[in-house]
Amino acid sequence: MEREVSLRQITFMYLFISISSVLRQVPEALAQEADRSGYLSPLLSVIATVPLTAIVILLIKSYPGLNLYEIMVQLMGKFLAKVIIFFYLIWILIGITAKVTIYSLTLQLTLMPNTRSDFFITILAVLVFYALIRGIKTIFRFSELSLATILLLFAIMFLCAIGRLRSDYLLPVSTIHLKEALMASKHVIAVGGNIVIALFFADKFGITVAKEQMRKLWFGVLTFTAFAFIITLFTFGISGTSLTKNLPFPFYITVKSISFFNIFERFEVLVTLICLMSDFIAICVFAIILSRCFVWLFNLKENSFLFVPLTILVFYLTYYISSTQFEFNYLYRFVIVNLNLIFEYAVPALLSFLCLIKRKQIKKQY
Amino acid sequence: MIYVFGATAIYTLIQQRKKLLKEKRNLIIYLFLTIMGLALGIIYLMNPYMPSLTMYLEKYLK
Repeated sequence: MEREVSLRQITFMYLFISISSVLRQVPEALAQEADRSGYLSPLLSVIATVPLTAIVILLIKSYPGLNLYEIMVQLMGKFLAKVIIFFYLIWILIGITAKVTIYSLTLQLTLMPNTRSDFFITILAVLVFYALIRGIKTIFRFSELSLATILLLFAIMFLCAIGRLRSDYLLPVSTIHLKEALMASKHVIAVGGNIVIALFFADKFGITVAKEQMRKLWFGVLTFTAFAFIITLFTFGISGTSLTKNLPFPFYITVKSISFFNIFERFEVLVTLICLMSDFIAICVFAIILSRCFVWLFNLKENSFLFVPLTILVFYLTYYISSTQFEFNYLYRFVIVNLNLIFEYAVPALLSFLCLIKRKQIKKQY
Repeated sequence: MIYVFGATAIYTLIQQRKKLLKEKRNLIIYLFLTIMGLALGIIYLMNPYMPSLTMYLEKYLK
């Protein structure tokens, strides 16, 4: 039987949707919290992302063919599962709204400062609507096909930028800074926790998931860590921490100074495009998860009729939740990061704990 | 935008009437979400410079 979605596609989607947050929010947040030592925080983030990946793998292996909601029903009963799914729904709604806001703010900040945000959001809504009509496979395929090209482009950019790295912006760093770097790593952890999305689509993988497929998740987490480290290293090393902490999109400014042997320049336009593509995929995936949450919460058999009312709701919620860059920065740092930590780490950790307790029953069942 | 959204909502209601009328809860959820979205839109139209939720959080959580 052909799988609707594979773990390989989930891994590529995870990396793809993480790109925009790593480029935009992570360097700024790390510079603000850990100053010069902030570029080490992505490496320290493995303390949380690796156990989370192990949790995701444990849940997929223990409950083959079941999604997050069905696993919750098995572990804690229908009522509690629905309550938690309701909170997941609120979290996704806030997350998708924030993504739409930052998508329009990025366009205004970089390419089109005089255009109103509703124009960008309307175009985005049409594109997302079209992508959703084509089905989830199209969305996952899109990230699968474009990720390699994007990573290659970043590799070229970094090769061009090596000469511009300033060691005095990065060193000295000692063990005194370890605590700050560790505390700041929560910003990387909050993005890296997106791997939990695999559980929302776990019913699409089929009953048997091979070991090679599971290894893709480990590959995804390690690639994410390396990518976040390299981006932060180059942003800090070229722009310096004092500039990085005060800019809304520091990597964009960093890329402005990079040129390919003085022949090709203005890579920042490509960075903006990559961010927009990443946001687009993230919004599509969040929209699918949002509609799935409604299906699980209200026992619906169809979800296609939800897309229009949800589009209207998300469109206007963007104005109610945050509308300026300053408001978004505050929302991201104090609300979204903490919510991500709860829903991406605390809830799966609780589920894995219950799973380990009920392991004997599971073995009998399957 | 509110007119476009209103028209789209009515169009979807007519186009997907079979799915919506098949089960009562489908129609209730559809109407609830649409009315909520349009209500937010109308309030925004009346007062576009209303302070956002983040602004309130920033003000009271400091």
